[in-house]
Amino acid sequence: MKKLSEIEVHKKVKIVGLKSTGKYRIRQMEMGLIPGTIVEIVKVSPFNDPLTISLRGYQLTMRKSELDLIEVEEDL
Amino acid sequence: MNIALVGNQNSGKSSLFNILCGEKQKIGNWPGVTIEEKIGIIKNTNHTLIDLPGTYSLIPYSKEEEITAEYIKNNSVDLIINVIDVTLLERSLYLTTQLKETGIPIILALNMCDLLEKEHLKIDPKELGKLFGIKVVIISSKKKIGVSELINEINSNNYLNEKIYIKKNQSLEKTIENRYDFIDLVTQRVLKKEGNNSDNKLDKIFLNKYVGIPIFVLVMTIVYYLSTNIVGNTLSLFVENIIDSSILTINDVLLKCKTSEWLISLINDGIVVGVGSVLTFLPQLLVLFLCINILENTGYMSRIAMLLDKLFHWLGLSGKSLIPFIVGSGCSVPAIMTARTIENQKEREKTIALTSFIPCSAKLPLIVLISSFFFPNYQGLVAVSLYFLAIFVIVFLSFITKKRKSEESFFISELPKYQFPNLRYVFKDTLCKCWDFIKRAGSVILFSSIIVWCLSHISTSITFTNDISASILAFLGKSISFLFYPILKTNSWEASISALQGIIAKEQVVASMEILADNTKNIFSSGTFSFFTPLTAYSFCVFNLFSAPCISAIATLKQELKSTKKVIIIVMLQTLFAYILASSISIIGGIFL
Repeated sequence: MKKLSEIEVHKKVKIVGLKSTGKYRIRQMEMGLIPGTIVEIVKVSPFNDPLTISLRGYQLTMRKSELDLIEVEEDL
Repeated sequence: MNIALVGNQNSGKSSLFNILCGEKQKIGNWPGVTIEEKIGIIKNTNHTLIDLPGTYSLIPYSKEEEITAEYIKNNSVDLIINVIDVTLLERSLYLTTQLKETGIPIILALNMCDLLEKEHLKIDPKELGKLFGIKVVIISSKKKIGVSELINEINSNNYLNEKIYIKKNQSLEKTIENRYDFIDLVTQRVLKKEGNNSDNKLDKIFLNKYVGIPIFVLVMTIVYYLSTNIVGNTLSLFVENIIDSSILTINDVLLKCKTSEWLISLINDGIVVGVGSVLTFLPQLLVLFLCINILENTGYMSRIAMLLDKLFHWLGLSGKSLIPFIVGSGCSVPAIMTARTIENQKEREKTIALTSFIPCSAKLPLIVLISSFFFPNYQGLVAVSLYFLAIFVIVFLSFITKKRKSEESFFISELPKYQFPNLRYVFKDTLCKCWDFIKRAGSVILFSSIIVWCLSHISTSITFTNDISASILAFLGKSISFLFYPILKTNSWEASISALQGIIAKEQVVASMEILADNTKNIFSSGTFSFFTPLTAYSFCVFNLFSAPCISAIATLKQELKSTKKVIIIVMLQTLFAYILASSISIIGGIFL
């Protein structure tokens, strides 16, 4: 199990869990970050943070610290 | 019938609203917040349509989303038009599943159907309607496709509203998962994707490690020059000329009517000048709003937020805070208004409070006056030092007021696709914003400039006077001049009231000094102001740059923050800070020089 922030760009991975809490956790889930969802880091800003991920046919930007809270596995 | 327009941000909701309602719309503000409230009547019907703020969910995460969720919950909505960017079907349908649970009839408008081909997507709207138990209409608000079909559906009064089965669970998280499971099933059946879309090409340039930032600097420079120099200045001069000539005309008319001297003075120096000061920066405002609106509608604004987030987050600000700061070097009023684009309320308020520290163009005459007279050899350097001081002050104040670690802030936001802006909508929206500004700021400025006119033209024995030294204002100046002693190292009521008049408009400081120095341009050679030394002049300038902004900016602060208390605190703190800074420069500098 790895954090999404540790995955290289353009590698597709599967979400297995969220470590976030409270209102923010609900928001992450409502935006489609649900265990089983396939995600991929697609854009990196010039200072390497924040990053944009692609999931469910759209793109979502988050800080590295937010990607730390998403647990993924490399076997799809 | 009471219809609500609901959809995600960037779903093209507002431009659909414009098409459906045309001119028949009223724009206001939701009570207590600066979020626009738009209500209209759908063309050729008597249905009222309300454009609710964009939301991803009925469990609100921001102020905007709260308004939408509360409205749907607490008002009797007869029909929901759920607008969806059809190219982002999966994520967008999440809100639809929640809307279904309210039991209110829904018409699903699949917007941006013109982009389906480009994105290599194929969709089966009939099947989608069947699975969701609702009516589905394919539209494009940009290309005006399907709008009449949508209106027909609204008028049909026969809405499909069948139950769908999504298991509600005790735990909210499980329910969210169930909703997405349902959406997964639906999209598998109605959506076919053939090939990849190519939206990422532009970001290879705009978010590039090496050229991303330089391109951003270039874009902002262009926006800045367009609004302040090229278009803004030309138009501002044009407006100023109109005002000057209208003063002359009014003067003639009034003289012919044998109007008394005081009334002529009140109308010209009080009312016309007051109204004029609002109108002169209107052109700048117009161009700036237009540029910012275009940046937002193309999707570039979201990239700016991404580019600058790291730097500004470190200061407890938002990546979007830079825009108000840049605009602020022209005028604080539009600058404070552009802070609207910052979603996080705390970051937004902080940005608003710091914006007026950037020396605006009205403060420039004072900077030029002091640096050219006292530092003839280092004029440019001294002027630049003041701008750097402003940047330093902003960085310093942002840093010390930064939230503690315990209050985490998150960025999570959709990165919208680039799109060509709907120019009609952009122009219309810009004009609305400008008109909104005139209405709100205009009255405050008019009122306060009449008050200052009264103070400077009524003597202490309550008679009309043209001699400012006999006026109530001079009396006030004399009674507060001791406050300026630490900065000026002398008591000068003339300098005190000049600084005081900066509240009306910052260029008034120099204008007032000119009048008090017997209308000479060599202000510092005249007896009145000969006490100034380079050090006290620099300190006086610093005080004027950082103290309370002009009344137009204060009125805008009030408008944007919706809290008189917050405005008073901000203005007081700014003035106190300016006072301490200017006094320290004067006193500490005095020890060394």
